[in-house]
Amino acid sequence: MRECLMGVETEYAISAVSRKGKSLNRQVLVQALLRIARELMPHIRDFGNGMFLQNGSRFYVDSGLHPEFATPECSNPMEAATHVAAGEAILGKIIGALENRFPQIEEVQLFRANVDYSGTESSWGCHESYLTRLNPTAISAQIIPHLVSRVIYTGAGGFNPLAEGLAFSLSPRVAHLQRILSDESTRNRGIFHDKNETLAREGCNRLHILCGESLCSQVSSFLKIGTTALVVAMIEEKACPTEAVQLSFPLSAIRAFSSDPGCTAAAALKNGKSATAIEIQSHYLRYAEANLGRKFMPEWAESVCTEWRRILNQLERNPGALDTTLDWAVKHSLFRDQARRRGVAWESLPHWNRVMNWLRGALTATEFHAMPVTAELVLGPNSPVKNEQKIIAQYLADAGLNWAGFAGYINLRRELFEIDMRFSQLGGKGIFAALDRAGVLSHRRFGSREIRSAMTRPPSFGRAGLRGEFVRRNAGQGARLRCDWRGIWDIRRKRVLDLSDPFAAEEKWRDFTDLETERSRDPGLAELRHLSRFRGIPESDPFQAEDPAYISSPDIPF
Amino acid sequence: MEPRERNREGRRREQESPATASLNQSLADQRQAGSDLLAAADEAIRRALSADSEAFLSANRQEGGQ
Repeated sequence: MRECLMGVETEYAISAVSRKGKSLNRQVLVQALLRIARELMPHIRDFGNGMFLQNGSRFYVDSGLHPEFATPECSNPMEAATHVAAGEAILGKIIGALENRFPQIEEVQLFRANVDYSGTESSWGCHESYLTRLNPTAISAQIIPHLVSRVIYTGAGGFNPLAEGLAFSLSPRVAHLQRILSDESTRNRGIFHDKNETLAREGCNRLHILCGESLCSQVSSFLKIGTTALVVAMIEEKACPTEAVQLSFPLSAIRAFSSDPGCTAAAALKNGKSATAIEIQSHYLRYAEANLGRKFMPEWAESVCTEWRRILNQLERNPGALDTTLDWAVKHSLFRDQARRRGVAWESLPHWNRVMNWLRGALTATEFHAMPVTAELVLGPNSPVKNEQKIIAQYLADAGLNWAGFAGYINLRRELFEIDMRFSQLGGKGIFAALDRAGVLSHRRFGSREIRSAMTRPPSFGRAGLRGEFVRRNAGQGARLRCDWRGIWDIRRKRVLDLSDPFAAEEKWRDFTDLETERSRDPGLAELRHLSRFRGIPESDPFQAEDPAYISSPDIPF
Repeated sequence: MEPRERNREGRRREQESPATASLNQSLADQRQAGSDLLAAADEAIRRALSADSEAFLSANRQEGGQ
């Protein structure tokens, strides 16, 4: 059976409120977070502000001042999903210690957020990595139909953050995808990320997927990783022809699929036909099932196929049946009900959205063009859009609505955005967590025992196990050691634990090269981390965005 | 339920095929699960929501990210 490796890196939204009710400066907050993490967690420092932990994972603060967790390299989707949850449990532990240490803090809040509703057009990434023997760019055409159509079970649910109105989306991050292929990750994002950043020896490439989302449901998380790993395995073996599902317009297709909770939207195919997301997914699943038992398929393939089949069947029969299982389906149900409670019919939203677009257009030519559209602005005595009011009133009347409902719609919009973020809040206060505690969800694939174990134990297979075990034995040795994905540098003994082979099963040390020896004399080690360039291995991207200032944490002036 | 209605309901159930009965039970379970979800969600949302959603969203503004 084939051995696979995969991992997930997740950016978390963070904020804190002081006991005086003020929001804390985020830079100060993340500095405190790192300081507590260094004190609390056995670790070896990386070359930036972060650290590698004894379970093989990496914790750091990324550009944008948000905490980020990267799981260790895992050999199956269950292990990867469990390590995502373990990272969140570790974050919870750090946050708890932070709140205890600084009684001035009322609460630190962390969210598995995906999109920002405050108007910044930013997002929080949740990227997947899959080891592949092929050049990732070479498989883009075969995997794009999968990435486009998997949103029906991998979508986090929410609203289009770039829309004026309230447009529900199975996968709100889709609004930030502007290209089919792109090597960028903070703007002009593509469905397929064609930047090849291997973090291992030659021949071990990393397929880096950034169109996915951070999820609460274990079923969704398991399927997101499991199905994609199987598709990669099949493409490598040329065991899954994809001509029949090649999309004419992948961007239009992913937008259509993510806008359709009924899962019946069809997209044009290059062969002149059209297909729904369920049909495209069924195509990949049929090949996965047909290949079960072949040598290149991993031993966990059957468990993924069984769950994949179950979810697709339910989506085909009645997507509503999954409103206790999939993130987007749970949220869709909650949002609709909240709208009903607030007296806004869900079916009226397209009309109000159209009104919002008209108003935004009308305001563009006024001095209020940068202001948010509010009921006070539009309907107040000094309204800049008085002329439009009458025309829109007629439109509303034709739709059975009137201006009296506008304020309710605006308030609902803000409230649903907050509910979306609160849904994914880590710790006991999150809505999803509360529903899980109440026993009304059916999403679990693993329990708290597995999560607790993954907090301290690395995967048993591959280099992550060696890394984690070394961290456990050698944590607390300060500046003597530095770790990254490809190795652990022992500065004093001038040797490197070589982890460039992702399947490494035993510790192999090599001496420093002359260049490493020379650069390790720099007390800040700022140059050492660039050495991999001279060994023919591309530098890992996360380092580039980090600010060395975080390495020396000052006292925390709360 | 009146005796006559009860008899009618009993006959209707007897006439249902096992597949139909199973489907009906499945739909009933689904309705119950949906109802339980919304009841729990109402409570969870009331506890979670702040008094000022606009301020909450501003406080959690993203300044970078991928």
